[in-house]
Amino acid sequence: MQQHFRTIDPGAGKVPQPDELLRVEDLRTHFHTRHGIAKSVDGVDFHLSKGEHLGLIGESGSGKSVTALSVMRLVREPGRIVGGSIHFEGQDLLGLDAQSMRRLRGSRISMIFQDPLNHLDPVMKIGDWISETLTLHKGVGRKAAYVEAARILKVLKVASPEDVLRAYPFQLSGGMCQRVLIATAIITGPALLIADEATSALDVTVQASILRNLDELTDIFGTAVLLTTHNMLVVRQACTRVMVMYGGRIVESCDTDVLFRNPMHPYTVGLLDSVPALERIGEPLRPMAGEPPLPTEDIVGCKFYGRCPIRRPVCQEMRPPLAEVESGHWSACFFPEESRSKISS
Amino acid sequence: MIALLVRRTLFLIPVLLGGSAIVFFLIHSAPGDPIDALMGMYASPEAREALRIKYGLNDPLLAQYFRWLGLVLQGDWGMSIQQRVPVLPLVLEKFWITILLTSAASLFAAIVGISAGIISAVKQNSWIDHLILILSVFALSMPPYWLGLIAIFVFSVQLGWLPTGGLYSFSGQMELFDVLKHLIMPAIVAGLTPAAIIARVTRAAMLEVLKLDFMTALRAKGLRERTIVLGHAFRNALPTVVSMTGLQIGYLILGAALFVEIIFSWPGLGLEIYKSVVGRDMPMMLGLVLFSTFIFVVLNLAVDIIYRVINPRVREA
Repeated sequence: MQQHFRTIDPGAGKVPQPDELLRVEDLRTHFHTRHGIAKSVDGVDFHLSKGEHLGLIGESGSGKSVTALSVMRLVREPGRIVGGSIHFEGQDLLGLDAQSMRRLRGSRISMIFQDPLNHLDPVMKIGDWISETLTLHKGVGRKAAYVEAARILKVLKVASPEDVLRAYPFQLSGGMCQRVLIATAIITGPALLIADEATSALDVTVQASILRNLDELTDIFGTAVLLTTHNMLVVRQACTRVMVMYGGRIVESCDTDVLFRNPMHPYTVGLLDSVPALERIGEPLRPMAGEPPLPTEDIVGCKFYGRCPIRRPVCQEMRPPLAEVESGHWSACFFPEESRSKISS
Repeated sequence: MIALLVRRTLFLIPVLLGGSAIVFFLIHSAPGDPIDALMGMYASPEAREALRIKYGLNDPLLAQYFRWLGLVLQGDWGMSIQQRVPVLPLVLEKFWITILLTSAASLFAAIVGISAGIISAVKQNSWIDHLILILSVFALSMPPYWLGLIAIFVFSVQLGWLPTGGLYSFSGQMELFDVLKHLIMPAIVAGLTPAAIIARVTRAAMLEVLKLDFMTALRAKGLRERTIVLGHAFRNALPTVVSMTGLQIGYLILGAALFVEIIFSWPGLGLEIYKSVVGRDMPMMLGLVLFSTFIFVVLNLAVDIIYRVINPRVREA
């Protein structure tokens, strides 16, 4: 039954592309809580090419961060990956032993986080923090690692890298801490960088410059980026392709500019509508009605049913599969064409 | 840093003055007469009076205090009434013997307490965590003098492995080994309660750190779990652990060691305090307690300074 309505990966069935870096299939990460099983990631498929910048957008609780952590195999108890597969550079990550997985972390796959200050060791100097990674994975000595760290910080437009390397995290601004995390993540030249809400805690101006930094650095190293965010504008600036996540599933996937021009899922339409925009100045904001379902709720059909303006009885009975509506544009809605017109009218 | 050191050292002066006053008046307000203890009940009233005048015991208490304080500051801590020797050299001699016991007990308490605390925190809610909890509740609830008696009964009387007490035996064995054999039981008995407290504090401090966000960041760097726990988490918990360990060592010197020294006849400050109290040896009592206060205060200062050195947030702010 379940199998029949499985989501279809954008690109599934096709021969794996030669430049394919990451392929996630039917990923399920559940949290076993007192209130029941929370299906935070409930059957997610996607792939990522070398050097590609892919956005994963959704509101809090949609499962985007858990998806990101699942790829790193860093989901904390009581969360557990209960199904699916993650292939990275041809290896099945879920089949790797702990030690091999640890060797990939920080060297081939790195991660940066929301709230950078809290993701640094409070009593460790920045220089030691950055060089720790380099020493661990590349066997570089402390001195050489400091030089390399200063070089990376310079690329990140840090005015006096030497001072930053000597500082403790609490002496730096949030933007500077995020630059430090980026430097740490990229210094080993990883193939994939996972940026989990990396700019959400920062000022808008800092956000833009951090995203530019990230772009430049990942270009230098040819690093692919998986960027999770709840901010449409961040996706627009940083990603070529985007996936929209809702209730632990991917509901829409396409190129970024297509998403903004021609959204094919009512949830995406709602998201776009709720972004304040200059051309609608003076009009009241249009927040989306309703709340997302609880992750512990057992929903057979479409998870967006409760809030959907174009819902029909069938949506409650069957889970709409992620299907290709037009070339490269995937939507998990039975009525993708109606999404736009019905709501905008 | 140096300014702080000077400031804190100067601050010791009022603390010690206040401490000395409290010690002095407290001991003088305690019942019992040193003359009675010294001369027994059959001495003539004249002889008693002569001795009272000799030791200045008829003067107003405040005058006695200031006279004593003046002499103490000049390094004259008086004569022991019981032992008829100067107090200060005797106190210093006993101090080193106590330090030997306290160091051994502290070392035991720190190693066992910190390891148990770290294991407890890392394996939270596992059987080993529960076992450590049970053991530490046991160690906390058993008074050291009782535990000491039981230990003597089991290991000395029944098994005959270790001597019942004292600092060394007169059999002429290898000296260091002999002292160690005498040291092991009192050190463990004295260190057990602090070990339990340090374990509890370390566990709590570690759990606090282990739930922080940067633990995920450390794992994302690809670090080994051992590096994460010992190199980062424990390093962050260290200030809390150090200040609690320092306090415990202070209590060891004054508290547990006193009982343990009496039980194991360990000839240090504690046993001497006990003897001076029983013998109403006031100059000795004063000297011993004042000296212990001094050690406690200095130890606290040391802990404060170490705390600063290992905690950049306090140091650099």
